[in-house]
Amino acid sequence: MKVYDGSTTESLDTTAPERVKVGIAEYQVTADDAVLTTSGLGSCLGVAIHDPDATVAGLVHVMLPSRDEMEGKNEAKFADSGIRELVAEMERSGADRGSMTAKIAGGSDMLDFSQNGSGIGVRNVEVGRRVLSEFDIPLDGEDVGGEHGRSLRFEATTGDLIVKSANRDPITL
Amino acid sequence: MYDDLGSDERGISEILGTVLLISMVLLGSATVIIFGASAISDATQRTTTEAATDYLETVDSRLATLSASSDDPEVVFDPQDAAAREYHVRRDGYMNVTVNDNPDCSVNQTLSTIAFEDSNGNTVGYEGGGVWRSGIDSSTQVTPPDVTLADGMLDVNLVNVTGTFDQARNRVALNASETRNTTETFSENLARGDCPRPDNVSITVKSQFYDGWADYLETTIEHSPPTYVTGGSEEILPGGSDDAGRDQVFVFKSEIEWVGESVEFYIYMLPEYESLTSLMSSHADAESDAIPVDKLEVFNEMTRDGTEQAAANVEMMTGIRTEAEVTRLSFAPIEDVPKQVGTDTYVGTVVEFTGVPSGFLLVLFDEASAVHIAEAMMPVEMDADELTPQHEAAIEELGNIMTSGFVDGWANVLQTSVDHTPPKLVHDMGRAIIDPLAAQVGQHQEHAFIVDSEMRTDDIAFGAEIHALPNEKELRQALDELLVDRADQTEADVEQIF
Repeated sequence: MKVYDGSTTESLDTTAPERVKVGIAEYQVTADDAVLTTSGLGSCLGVAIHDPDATVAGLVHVMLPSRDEMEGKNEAKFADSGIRELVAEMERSGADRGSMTAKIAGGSDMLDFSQNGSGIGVRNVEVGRRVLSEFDIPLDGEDVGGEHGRSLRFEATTGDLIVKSANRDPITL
Repeated sequence: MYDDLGSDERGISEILGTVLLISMVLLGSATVIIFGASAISDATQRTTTEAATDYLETVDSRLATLSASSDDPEVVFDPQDAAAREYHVRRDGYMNVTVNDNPDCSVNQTLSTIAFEDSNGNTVGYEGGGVWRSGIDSSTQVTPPDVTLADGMLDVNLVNVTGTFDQARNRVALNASETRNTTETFSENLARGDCPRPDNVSITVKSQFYDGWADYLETTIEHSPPTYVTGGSEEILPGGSDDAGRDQVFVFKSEIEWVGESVEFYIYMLPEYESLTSLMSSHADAESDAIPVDKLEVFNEMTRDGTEQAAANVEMMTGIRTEAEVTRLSFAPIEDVPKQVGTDTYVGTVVEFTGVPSGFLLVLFDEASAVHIAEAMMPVEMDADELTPQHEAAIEELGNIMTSGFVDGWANVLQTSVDHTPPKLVHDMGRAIIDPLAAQVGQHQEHAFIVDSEMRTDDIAFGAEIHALPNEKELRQALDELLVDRADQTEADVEQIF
């Protein structure tokens, strides 16, 4: 039972859409005109999914490619289970898988010290693309790889994904 | 802390205790009031209270699993060697939660109990989701109830049971729907009006196991009323009488963020050193991989010495007087590791070190500091506002020598060989820099040790941070092999490096 959990019902500024932060290994889904943001994507991957018909949007910030490779209770930490969980949560919020489109950003190769095989960033992107195609969710835009970090701003009303980097002008996917 | 406040409505001598509890919001406080209850009727018995305790713990875990199910399951339990008639189901206790002393914010709910009593007057009971034992004078908790107060949130889930025990069958019905109703009544009554913004919360429990409840709630959540303080980070640290002369303290840090609001704050908990270490050692099992506290201290000191040497090295190369300011060793879930670094843009170097332990080491400067410190190293005055390739080359050199000192300092104390790759220069968002390193470490572990140190100078705007992310298992191994008395060698050995 929840008596007081720190959440408030005070009126928000109605002129600006609500800004919802998505932490590492977390996802958020909104059916309102909120803006979902996440920061500090290095090799991590941000997957933004939008259903324009139901105006439901969701963003997940995954850290590692596959849940099968290791133990871990947090589904949102891994690209495969994180995307599955995000799609399921969006469907619970009224979205239809048939109308969903996706955009991905992140998966940088920066500071990859792995001696052999592909780095985590590359594998995050590969698994992300594969799981989205398993769900038949078309990939509408991507800004992945490279040697720099990214922060994301996902506008639920338009489905625009704005990608910011430290040494580059923002781009809109 | 208990006051005798007379009888309850049934005319049975009662003891009422008040226990100061936790603030539901950062201001205010809460109170727990515990009533005693009448002794239950005499019962014959042959079995031991231990068997009854085991049995009720089984009941507890079975009911906990079932309480989430949608229908009202009836469960038949076999009390094994205990005769069925020694168990009773009673419904004569209650729990009351009142917010702000406001009758409109008050909820009263029945506590149902499965109880067993032996000939010596000892009772074992399952009540409120926990198992309790009571003797002639007092009662204690065996397993905790489903009532918790943590992080400013009160969770109550009162399992509601009815049933009979007789020779023919031992039957306990879990009223899942009534249990849910109880929980919903709490929610509905306490979530309206001003109730969710409590200045104080009173929890009143009437139970045979009242002092067990009191102890549980007290040890879980006792605190003193908050005091408003302002000041720098060091001044507001409480000067605990026992910890005053201590060089190192344990700190639990939580960051709180409001969804959709630009409000963030931190909660720091500074447990008393002695009580925390004794609590930890009583909870560690002999076979576990717990790291002894004295080794953590040595490790922290080793890090401080390494940082001081790195700072001295900065001073030597730049002529700017620099001091090691903060050193700490954190242990956090891997996904929280990037939060150790700010969201601003940083410039610095990253290396991978190999050996025992292996891991990553970052030397980071904020952009302004990077420009200042790089110029101090240059023979020609640049007077630039932005980082040029010359600045970056200077930072790379500085990062390299700071890294060497730091890593070699460890290696000497641990008496292992720790090598590192050439530094990679980074210039990016702080969290994006540490994110791929956390991910690489996170392929093998769910939690990580993070070694953080900072250095500052008053002369110019300058700040540098060193973060090390060692492999958890290897660090445990290294600490396991670490001889505490070798810590004295740190300083001398680190000096040899430079």
